[in-house]
Amino acid sequence: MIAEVPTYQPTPPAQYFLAEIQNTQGKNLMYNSAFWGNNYPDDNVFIIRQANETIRKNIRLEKDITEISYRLFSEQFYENIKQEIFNFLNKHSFTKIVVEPTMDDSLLIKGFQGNIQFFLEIFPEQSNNWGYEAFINIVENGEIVLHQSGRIRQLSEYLNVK
Amino acid sequence: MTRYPLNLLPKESFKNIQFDHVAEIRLLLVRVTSNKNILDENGQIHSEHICIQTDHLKDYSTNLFGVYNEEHVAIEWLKTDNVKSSDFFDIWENRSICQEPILNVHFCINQEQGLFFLKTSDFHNKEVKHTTSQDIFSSKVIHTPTKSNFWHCSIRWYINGVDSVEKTKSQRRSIHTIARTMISIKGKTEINISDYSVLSPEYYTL
Repeated sequence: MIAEVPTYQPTPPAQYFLAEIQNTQGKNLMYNSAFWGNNYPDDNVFIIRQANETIRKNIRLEKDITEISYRLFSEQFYENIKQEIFNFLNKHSFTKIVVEPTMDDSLLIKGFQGNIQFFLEIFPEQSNNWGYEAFINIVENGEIVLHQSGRIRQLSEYLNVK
Repeated sequence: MTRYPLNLLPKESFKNIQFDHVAEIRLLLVRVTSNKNILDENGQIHSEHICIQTDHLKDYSTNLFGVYNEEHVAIEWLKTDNVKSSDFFDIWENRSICQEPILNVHFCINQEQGLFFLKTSDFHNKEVKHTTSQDIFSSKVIHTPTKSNFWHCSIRWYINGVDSVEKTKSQRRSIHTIARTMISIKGKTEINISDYSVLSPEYYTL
């Protein structure tokens, strides 16, 4: 049997960080030579500070999600959801993301995309192959305009529709 | 407060409030919380302060603001056997006479308790549709006076017109997530009370 060669996978915070860097000012700053210059002009100092802030935010997010998952549910639950959650967060430009446990034994992640707010709630669930059941509510102008259930990767698509 | 506010107790001359009949009146509900620090980083009600048990969401306890006011939020029921075995929390019906709860025997004053307001119009006959299953989730405000608090009201949730307790786990989760989202975004810790009415006695007296 030939052993599978492991390939490098950035950790979820690193993926998020890279996506943020690429989004900054609408261009890929990773390949902008000025970004890596020796003089660090003001713009680049600002960008580096912004990137540091993004890293801090994502480390905190991952810590919150991990802690709640481990405390309330299980390591297995976290394993089931982590990749899909960070793909979800990476895919959209969310702001003001908050992670909370609920008294209903679920993990609640909420945040904004412009004027639209999402509430993503994830319950541990053993009766399906992916180990959780997720629901999303999308709120616009103070009203729920969309309610849907399914896998996180499917629910993510509804934010593109809105 | 040295004794239980008697204006919270039901009177023989009272009758149940029909929220369908007062839908045009701007009314507020008050939800009591265990402390005053109840907002998340975005200024919305933190999910941990929406309810302390799942079961509380399906029949969500509130109080009609008016006679029941901010002063009454500090009333905390003691968790003693004589309170648990009392009928203070039973539904008031048949115009029965109610016993007055006694300070430090049945309840105490806890100034740490907080509150948030909900507009009745945000929860009475409101509907949300599931995007693919087309299930309709709705909420209603129902007057559920207890023997110790005539102003007690409940927000109840229905799936296609049927009480959510009779539905599948997944449907109940749907309704819980909708309830939590609605309460989180609609709940306000500060509100201009003068914009709202106190219900006129004609709606609750015989």
